[in-house]
Amino acid sequence: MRLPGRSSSYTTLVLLMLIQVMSSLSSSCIPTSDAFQFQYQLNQPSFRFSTSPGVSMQASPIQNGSKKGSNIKIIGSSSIRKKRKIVAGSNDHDSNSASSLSVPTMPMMPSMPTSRRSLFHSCAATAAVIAITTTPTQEANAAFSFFNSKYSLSVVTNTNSTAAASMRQPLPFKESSAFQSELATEACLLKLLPVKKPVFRKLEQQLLTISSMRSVTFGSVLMSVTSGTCILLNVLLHCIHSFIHSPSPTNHRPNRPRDGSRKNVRIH
Amino acid sequence: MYEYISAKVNETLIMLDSKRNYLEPVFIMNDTTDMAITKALKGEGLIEKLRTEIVSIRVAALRQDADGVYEAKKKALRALSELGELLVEKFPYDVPKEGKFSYLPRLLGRAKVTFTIVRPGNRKADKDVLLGNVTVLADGYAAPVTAGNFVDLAARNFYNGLPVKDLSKRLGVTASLTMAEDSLVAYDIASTVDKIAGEDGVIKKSLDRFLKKVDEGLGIELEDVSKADNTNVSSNSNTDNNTVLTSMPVAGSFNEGFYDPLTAQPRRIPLEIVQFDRLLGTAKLSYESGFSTNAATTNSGLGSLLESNARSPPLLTFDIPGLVAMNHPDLNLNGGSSEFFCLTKKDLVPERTTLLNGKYAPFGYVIEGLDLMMDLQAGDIISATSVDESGMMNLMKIRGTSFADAMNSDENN
Repeated sequence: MRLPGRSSSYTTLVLLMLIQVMSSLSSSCIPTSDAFQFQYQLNQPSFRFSTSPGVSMQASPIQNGSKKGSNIKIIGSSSIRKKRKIVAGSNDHDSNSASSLSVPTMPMMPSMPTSRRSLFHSCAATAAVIAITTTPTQEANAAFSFFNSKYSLSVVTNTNSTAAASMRQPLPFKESSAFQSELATEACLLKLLPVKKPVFRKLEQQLLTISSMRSVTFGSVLMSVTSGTCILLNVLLHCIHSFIHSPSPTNHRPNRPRDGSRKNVRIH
Repeated sequence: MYEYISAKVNETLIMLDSKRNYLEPVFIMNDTTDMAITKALKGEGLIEKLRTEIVSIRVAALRQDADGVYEAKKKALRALSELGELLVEKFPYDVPKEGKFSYLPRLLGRAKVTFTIVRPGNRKADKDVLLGNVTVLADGYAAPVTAGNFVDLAARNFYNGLPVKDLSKRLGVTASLTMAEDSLVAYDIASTVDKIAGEDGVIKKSLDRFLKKVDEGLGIELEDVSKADNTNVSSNSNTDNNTVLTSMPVAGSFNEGFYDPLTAQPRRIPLEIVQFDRLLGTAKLSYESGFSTNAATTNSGLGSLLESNARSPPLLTFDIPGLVAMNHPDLNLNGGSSEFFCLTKKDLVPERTTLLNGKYAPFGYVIEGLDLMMDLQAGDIISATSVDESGMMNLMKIRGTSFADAMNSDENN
């Protein structure tokens, strides 16, 4: 599924307005310390985070033959209870498995059905990515080219199939020109030099390898933006859900059947 | 993460200190003693500069300053590339010297050209606004003839006073059969028959007579090929759906271009692309056909450009920000003279850059003032030009413009 284009200014405007409105509520509604968890791997700069107990996102490069690129996966969970059990009860779970990436639960929407909650979380994560790609900041502009050029968005169901497990594993990263675009001039200057001295080439390789570290730094910036956006959108969805499911004060008749009959009503 | 960078930088520093003697400038026989000493001193300075920048990376990493790491790393890479220029033993390409190539200067190295850009006031009474300097690093390892022409014109102050123009260009067009290719086909036939006949006197004489008649029949000389192209392309314009009509700011535009005093005609530069040779795994120069009689280094045959690009992709692609390339008429690939351009931000999209790859000759990079170069507007003027001294030393001319140079070139020939 391709990300929407950059021209969705209306979406941007709406999202930014909602974020601004909800930002005032975020400090008083929920604690945000354990709402998100990020995982970076320096040598394998795929990163993943989870917006909530039910959903985690992973961005990692893919290598398909000669094609290079990356995937962003939203991994949804259909069994929150099971995952809570794993996190709370055991410490010996595999650190590479998908369940280990879940965070301690945050009882944001206790009354929602599990599937609906997962859906809401998925929507929040997806909307966060859209917000990043449409927010006109410098990081977001970079993120836009990051996503829109070679990267795709795919949704992976939370099954224990081999394919899903393999997609969750971080893939080895190979430097691509997309990450080196800012230093492309320097790279070309060195590449075209007809120097075959191994010391020179080794120095070049070392310095260019350091340059890829900034890509990870950029990823951390991207993730920090994502985290803030996801927090606010979670709060927004929570408020919407509370508004929809909150009992109306005028129709609140706890002991009265909904069909209006008075047969079983006890009058004291 | 920053600990990882620090560890990597420490490793690099240890390697630089332990193998420093391997980075000393190479000794070249043709260099004079003064030149050798100058190179040695420059090499020492560059190694120290490289070391300083690597230490700066480590300091920035300790401060967890990502921008500082980036800037120091950029300077370190530049210092390393300057140091690498002193380690080149021999120019890697065999640039043609025969025919029209003998009139063209070539850059056997790199040179820094700095332009001062001003923007004229709205009224005549208003003063010009100084916008700043743009430094272009002309790379002879990317396109020796094109970069040589650029540095030569800059050294002649040809660009001074010339305004930036907004030129409308159609990208992605393919030239159809032109008179240049007609002449090339005639040359191919002649060379093939010559190979078959060998050194047989009778056949060779008849072929000479045949070629003479062909030349007389076509009625053009090789010097006029580019001019014939310019007049012929308008009727053969091939515009399909894959083309994009765009306008881009082009600098150095002046009538027909630079009039070479050697030939008293506009100087034309062949399309010169450095490509990656998949068979050999090395870089090679490729020249578009129809420019000179030297067919050994040029592509031959119709559609040769597309085939060549597919076989050997260009090393420099236009998705590199700040890449400077020589402009030429849309349908005359060998018609470049003095105009050069750098893609603006709006044109730095894959849909446009792919149309430019292999069709225009990149010869340099903007190393300072990239923002200004990308924001150039029509009417901005190049008020001053300067070329660095070491860059001028890399500029070579087979035929000089002075009387003494002409006499020397005749003696050498």
